[in-house]
Amino acid sequence: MSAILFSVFHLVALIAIVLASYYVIAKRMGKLAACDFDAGSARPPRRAARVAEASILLAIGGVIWLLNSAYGRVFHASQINPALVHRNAIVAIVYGAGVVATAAMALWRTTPAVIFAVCLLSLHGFMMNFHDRDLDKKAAAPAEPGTLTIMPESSAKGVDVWVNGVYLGKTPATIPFKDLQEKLPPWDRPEETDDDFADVPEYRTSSARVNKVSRWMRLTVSHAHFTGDRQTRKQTHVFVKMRHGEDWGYSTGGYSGGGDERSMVYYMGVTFPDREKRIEKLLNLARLADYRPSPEWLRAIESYGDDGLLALRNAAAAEPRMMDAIDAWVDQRYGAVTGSDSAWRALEQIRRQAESQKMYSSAGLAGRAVERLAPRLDPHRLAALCCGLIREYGGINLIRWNAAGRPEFGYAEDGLNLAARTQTSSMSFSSGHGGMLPIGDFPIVHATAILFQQGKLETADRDRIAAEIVRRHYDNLSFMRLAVQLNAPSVEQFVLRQDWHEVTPPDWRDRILGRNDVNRWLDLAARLPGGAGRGFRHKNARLIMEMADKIRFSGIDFMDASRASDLDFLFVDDKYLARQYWPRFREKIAYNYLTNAWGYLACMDAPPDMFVQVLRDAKGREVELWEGTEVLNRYLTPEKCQAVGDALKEAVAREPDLIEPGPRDRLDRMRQDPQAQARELLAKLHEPGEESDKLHLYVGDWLAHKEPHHPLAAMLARDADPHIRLLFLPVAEAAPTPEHRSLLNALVADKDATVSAAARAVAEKLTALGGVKPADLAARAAP
Amino acid sequence: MKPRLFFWLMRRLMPVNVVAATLAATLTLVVFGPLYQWREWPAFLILIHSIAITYGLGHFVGPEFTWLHGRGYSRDALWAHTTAAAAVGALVAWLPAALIVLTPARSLVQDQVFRSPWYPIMQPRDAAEVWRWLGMYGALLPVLAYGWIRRAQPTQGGAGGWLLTIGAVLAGASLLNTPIREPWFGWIVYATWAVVAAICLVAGRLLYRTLEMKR
Repeated sequence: MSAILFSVFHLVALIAIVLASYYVIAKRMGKLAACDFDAGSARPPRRAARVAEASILLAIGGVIWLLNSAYGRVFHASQINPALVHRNAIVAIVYGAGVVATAAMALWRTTPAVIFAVCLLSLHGFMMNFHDRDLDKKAAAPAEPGTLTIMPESSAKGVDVWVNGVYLGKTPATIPFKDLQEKLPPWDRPEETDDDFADVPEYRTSSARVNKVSRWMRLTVSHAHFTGDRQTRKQTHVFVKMRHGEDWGYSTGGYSGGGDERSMVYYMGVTFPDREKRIEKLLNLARLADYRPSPEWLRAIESYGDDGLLALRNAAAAEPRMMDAIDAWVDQRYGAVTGSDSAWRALEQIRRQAESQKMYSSAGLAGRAVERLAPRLDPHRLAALCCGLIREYGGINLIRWNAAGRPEFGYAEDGLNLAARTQTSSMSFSSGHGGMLPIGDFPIVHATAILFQQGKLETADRDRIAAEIVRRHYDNLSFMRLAVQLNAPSVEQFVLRQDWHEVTPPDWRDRILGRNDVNRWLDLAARLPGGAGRGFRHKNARLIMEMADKIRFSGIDFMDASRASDLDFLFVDDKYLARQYWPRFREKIAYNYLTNAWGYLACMDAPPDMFVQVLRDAKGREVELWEGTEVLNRYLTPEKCQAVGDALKEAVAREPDLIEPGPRDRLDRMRQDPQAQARELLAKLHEPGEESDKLHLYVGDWLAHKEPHHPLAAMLARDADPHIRLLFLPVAEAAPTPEHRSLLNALVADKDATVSAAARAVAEKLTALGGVKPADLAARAAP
Repeated sequence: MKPRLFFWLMRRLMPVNVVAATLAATLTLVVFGPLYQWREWPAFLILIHSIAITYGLGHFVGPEFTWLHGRGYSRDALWAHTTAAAAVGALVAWLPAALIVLTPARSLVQDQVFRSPWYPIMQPRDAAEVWRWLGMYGALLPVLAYGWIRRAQPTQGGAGGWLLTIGAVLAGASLLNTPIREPWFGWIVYATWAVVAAICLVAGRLLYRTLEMKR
């Protein structure tokens, strides 16, 4: 903004100097008198001239007024301190009146009108850029007292909120920052009674326990604090409790949110157990209906909003047929898509809805609808639409997150934290300048991305889109990386012909460079997919690794998918560079050695012995083992994770002092290949002994509550030992999928009377559940 | 249409137009990088060319113009032919450059001869610049012509009209270079300039009827 005003101010100054000099010199030299008709005896200018000159002054003065006023000084009054708004408004009104007066003066005589206009513009520019220290101080303060809003990470409506024991009301519960200190009792910690704890069971294969989880959730708010004119930042710790109807929530750990000095919104990670159970029952009704739910069921699940969809999506991660239920919901909302025409109609409907709701999320129902209809859209038409959007808009605001193992994106104009609604962490992304992509056009971008991922965008279409990105955003690294990823021949040529030959060119300040002061063209060339990119990386490995040396990185998790790593180029394609660079990367890690090194190796798809070597190198850093194994669990396939885990355990068995005994059990919690784990557990169940007894006691509940789709469930049901077959029954009751019901039916006819009777009892429970009306399980409105 | 008058006016502009067309075509063909990155020089050259055209056609001092205005042409016919000659003069310089960009000879030469990384990818963006150049001529010529016509009026305030012309050109150049990427503001600036140019054309035509020749 200041740059804009600065330039206008300079413009006015320049005009003033030029015109004044011209006038003075011409007058002195007698030029004006000699060739002009300004003598008093001459006739006044014709009306056409007077009107024309007045109109020109009015038009130019008006557009400069609009430039200064529209850009934040007057029209954006809600975002500016009232003191400045008032001053700017007065300046704008006076200037506007001055422009009109100038035009009126031009109807009389032009020269004084032009001189007056120049003076007016100069004064206007000066006033708009004038910094009054007192006003600036006041401007630093928010226009209104800032507020804190507390919400649950849930779509439950009308949730009651207590903060430090004081009832704030129903969500969205809002409190001014100043009241945090003045009206709330200070709590170092809540005075908890038994009622303030929820019993949350924890299931493991050979043990179970009930955790007491406090209903008071700790929230730390960092906000502006004003003492007179002095502004400081202050951290306030409060304790939050939530209730939905009669359903008291308990913390699922953490919170997310933020904002500015005027408004902060925090989303508390909270579970309402009754609400969760009702959703789970609805999911079971869908299973009993073979994932072809009735319209009543759809109405019931819809009453839970995002929570219902999230539950379905989470279930579908391990139970793919649950997507059929989601798709039934999608069809009910947007109509069945049968061909190209209906797909375009549905896309238009989704666009209109996103525009009116000012929100779009790939993880939402609309996002799923786009996923389904995208393959039916004409890719050429879609690519043309996408190119039009790139031409028309300068940038995009969005947030990205991972949910149910999938990368998602979306945006909400009202600041709603979409990722919080999916109970995961997110990353904001904003790039470009000029008009931002409207939310109503997000579905087009999403559909195009889906077709690209599915390999259904032809080279010509990818080339059109990528070339359009380059044309508009060749100076924006984020967009250029996107263009490179599209694997378009024209972009390949564009990048490879650039001057990428030095990591940091001598005149780097005069060039458009990427982050970390490295040559942006080299960064892009190193990321090129396809044969040309592979050839480039092999041929220029030394140069690229020199560039990697200059790139700084930080954080615990090197390969966090929600963060675009500047070192991504090491892992493109055949991972040749990653292998070459590994020794240098090890030297480069400054913090969190284990997590970063294991993250790198996981990206590189390294053999298990390299993970073991990292563990040896990290001796004495066992504290990192927790995060390190989490990284492995998250990013390695179950089979690979099992192989790495086995190698680590073997190494620890061979070299007991490799890690302390305490953290060692972290290795036992590493993800295992489910098939191998099932075989191992079944074998243990058959072995007599204490471990087998524990497994007999707990494995059924573990399966039922944590892993109902684990291959062990079917193995238990088919086992020769009736005691083991019995362990399957809680699983069938907890997740009555068609496969589980089929196994249950077989057990109803089991030759063992105990198994048969127990199976019949479960079958009767499922029959009773099948009789429950979905409407009875719909979300309860908070009183 | 009076061809002899038109060609007489065009002949006066020929040296200027030949130089402008040659320069524009050569530069358009050989300049490295997208034209978008090279906006100042075309703007400057267009300004110089427009001033030269306006000076060539609107210098209402000297025997040639006195002779022309004594040939029996009406003032409206003289204004129309002068305006048409100015427009054609602008087109003479613009058209070769535009064809080089739009055909797309520039893209081919840059890609195949100079091995420029920017081509053929930037060719469509160059095409947009070509229309921008034409817009500059369209905005500058009427305003400059108005300045000359206003100076030649046997009335007061000729210097003011000339000052206003200079100010308007400077204001327009500055507004177009203001670092605002909001499309709506760009359109407002274009629309304002179209209005200013239209005012100058209409007022110029009316005032041309009363301009005064000087020997």
